[in-house]
Amino acid sequence: MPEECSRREFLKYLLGWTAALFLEGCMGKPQPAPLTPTLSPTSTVPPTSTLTPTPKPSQTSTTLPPSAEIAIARGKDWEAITRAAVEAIGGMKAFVKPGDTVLLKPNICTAGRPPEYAATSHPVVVATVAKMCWEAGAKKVLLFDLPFSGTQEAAYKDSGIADAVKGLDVELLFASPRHYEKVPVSGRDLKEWTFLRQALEADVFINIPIAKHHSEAGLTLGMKNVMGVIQDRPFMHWNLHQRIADLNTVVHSHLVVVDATRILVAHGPQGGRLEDVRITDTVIASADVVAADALAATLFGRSWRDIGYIRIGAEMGLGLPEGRRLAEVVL
Amino acid sequence: MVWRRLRIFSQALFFALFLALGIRASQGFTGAPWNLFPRFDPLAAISASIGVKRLLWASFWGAALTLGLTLLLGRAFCGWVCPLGAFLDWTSRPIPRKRRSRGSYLFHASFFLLTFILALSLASKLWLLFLDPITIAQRTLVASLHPVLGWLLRAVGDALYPLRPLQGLVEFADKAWRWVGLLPQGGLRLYRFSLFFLAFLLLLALLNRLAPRFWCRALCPLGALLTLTGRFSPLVVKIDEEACTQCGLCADICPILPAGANRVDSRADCWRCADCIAFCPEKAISFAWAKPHCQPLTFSPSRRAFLGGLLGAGAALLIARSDALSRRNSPNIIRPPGAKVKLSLGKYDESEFLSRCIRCGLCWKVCPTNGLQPAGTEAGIESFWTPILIPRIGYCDYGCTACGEICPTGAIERLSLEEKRRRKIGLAYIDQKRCIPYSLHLPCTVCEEMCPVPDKAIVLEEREIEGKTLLFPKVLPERCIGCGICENKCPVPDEAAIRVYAPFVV
Repeated sequence: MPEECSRREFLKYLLGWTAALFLEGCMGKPQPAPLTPTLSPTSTVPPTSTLTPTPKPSQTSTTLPPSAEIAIARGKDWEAITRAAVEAIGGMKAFVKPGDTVLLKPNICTAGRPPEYAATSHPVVVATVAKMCWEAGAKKVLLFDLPFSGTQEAAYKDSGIADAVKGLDVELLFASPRHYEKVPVSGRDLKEWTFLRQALEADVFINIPIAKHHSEAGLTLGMKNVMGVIQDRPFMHWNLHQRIADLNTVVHSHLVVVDATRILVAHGPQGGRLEDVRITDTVIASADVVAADALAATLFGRSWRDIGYIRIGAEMGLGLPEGRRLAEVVL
Repeated sequence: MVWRRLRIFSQALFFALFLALGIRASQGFTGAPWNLFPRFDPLAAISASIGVKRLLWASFWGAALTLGLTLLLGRAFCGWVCPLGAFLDWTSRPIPRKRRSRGSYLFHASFFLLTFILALSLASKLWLLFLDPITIAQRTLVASLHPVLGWLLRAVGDALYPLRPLQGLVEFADKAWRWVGLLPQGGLRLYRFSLFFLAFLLLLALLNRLAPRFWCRALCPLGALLTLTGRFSPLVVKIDEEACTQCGLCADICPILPAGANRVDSRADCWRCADCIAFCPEKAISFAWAKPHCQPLTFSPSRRAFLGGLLGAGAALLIARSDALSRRNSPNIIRPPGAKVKLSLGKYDESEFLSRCIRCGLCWKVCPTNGLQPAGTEAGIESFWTPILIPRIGYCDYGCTACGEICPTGAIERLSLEEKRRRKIGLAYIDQKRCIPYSLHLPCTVCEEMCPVPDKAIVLEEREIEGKTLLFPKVLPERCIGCGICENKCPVPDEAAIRVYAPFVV
């Protein structure tokens, strides 16, 4: 008898555990974020100008807000111009809904460069965006960049950003291999690449690049800034411009706030010479990364047609380099 | 019982302190107190001072304190403080049931090793210092134990992370490990020869089978130094003659008493473990202060050991000189910035650096990129376990001066950030046969992009090739500081297309 009992029990357990595993499979599993942006009024503006790119399938159904689609704000008070630029395109409430998880992606490409060297996004701009997220009712504000030189800890600290967001309850993310995920890329060159999970899963991805010179890319702006949330970056350079555009098909910047309070005009991306820094007192905001980059390029006296990844981004329909309704604010 | 308990508590406390300091040092904390243990090591301090032929103040006070306490308390350092001693205590059979033979010549080896090491220091060679117990413990912790723990914690986290409800817990644990230092800043740090260091530690534990703490009593050169220093210590074990029944138990459990003795007496080798006090059935033994007198030695520094040490050192010097590497520097010796090396025409003089470096491994520990690694054979036997930068593993961070701040003997100088950024530690060379633009005619400018020198030590030249306009990187030797980030980030797999070699002056 004992043998029979144990076999029966064995089968019972087997059945039970199978059922449990099956049920576990039915529970919410981590899902990669949809490749197309979630619908929010201004992030998916349909083309209105004469310059009409092929719209993405999901971009056709929303209504146009009465505000501008891209804003450039100038002034000495960098917190004020950051606010003004975002207000001009509908305010943070247009992008961050109550309960949203927001990922801020400043450009902190290296440790060891204080903000005045214009190698990293300015802490005032970053902190202001963080504050606005909380004001819009965000549930969680995360911040991430992975420097190519120095540790993340040192980069967050040296850039002044760790101090600036202190007390704002912003969670600084630290990268570990388990936070990355290989996902398919429907790009022209890349078929798959490894991305930071939080960048794929966050409800709102706010791209806060600093506008600066870059030896190979020409300029590094919003689209290039997405390179911070991937792995294997050196391998991007084989076909840099196309690959940058391809990354932007996966990571959609719901809001781009270009920090051009001061810009680096030579020896980028790292800089290190104050002679290469120009104070430009400017912040650009848009939900269209291509439009924001194209406008930021003009600060360097360059056209978006000269910058490979912006041109390719425009060709691929990632955004409109020209023709967005522009608001100019001078404070 | 109270002395023994106190001693066990003290060992645990110092061991924990040792672990905590060593592990936290990886979190960007540098300088004192993170290098406390090597600084209190008199053998390291004396060797380095003899090596450079002058008093090294960097390690003087700690060493003086240890020696002063030893004058007063005898070899108590071994029984109460030494982290390696504690480890070997815990891996020995706690109380030996039967004494083992103690007549072997091997038991006098510690004096031989001490002579050997000090004689080599006279010739400014510190390479045998890797037998110093503090550096053994420090190196093994740095290179083997800490990385293994880190791996384990990360693997557990990785295994649990896919379970959605546990993710928060895993992230929280990660934060805690990072705060403690078990997961170092900038990711896990792994070291060459880690298995060797671990094996060496296990070998020492295995030697406990010959006799409890065999290493400490028979081999440890620091132990020999402390034995000689503590010979006149007034702290002795005293037996109450009236209470003693001559049962012989104390002689049985004493780790250092010679064969044939039937009860403990005060000896210079005694590390005041207080086992005899604790286990005497008559409670007849106690610590007492006595008039300083010359205490007997169980393992005496025989003339043979002394002469053997001198001879050994001489032979070792000759053998080291016969190494081909004494003629030419290896091209792969890139020392950390601030290392006391001299650059002159075609020559790379390391004698001061090699006579100061005690091979403790703290600089490998604090290097945030993991680029500082123990040297193996590439620099000859004289450089074993000294730090070299291996750019393919990690580069010299442009914003970091940690190695100079942690170095307990000043073998690596403390540099200000500005000085460090000007210090040439190597020179980058482009291998045009492997470099992507040169060999494949494809665009790549990673090395130029990574170069941290403000006006760039790598510049790009635009040239037309096969109808394409390409940017070709070029090194400007006068600007290159040899930090190695270009080699580290070069996307060419395995051997990079741009490599850093030892610098030279023209």
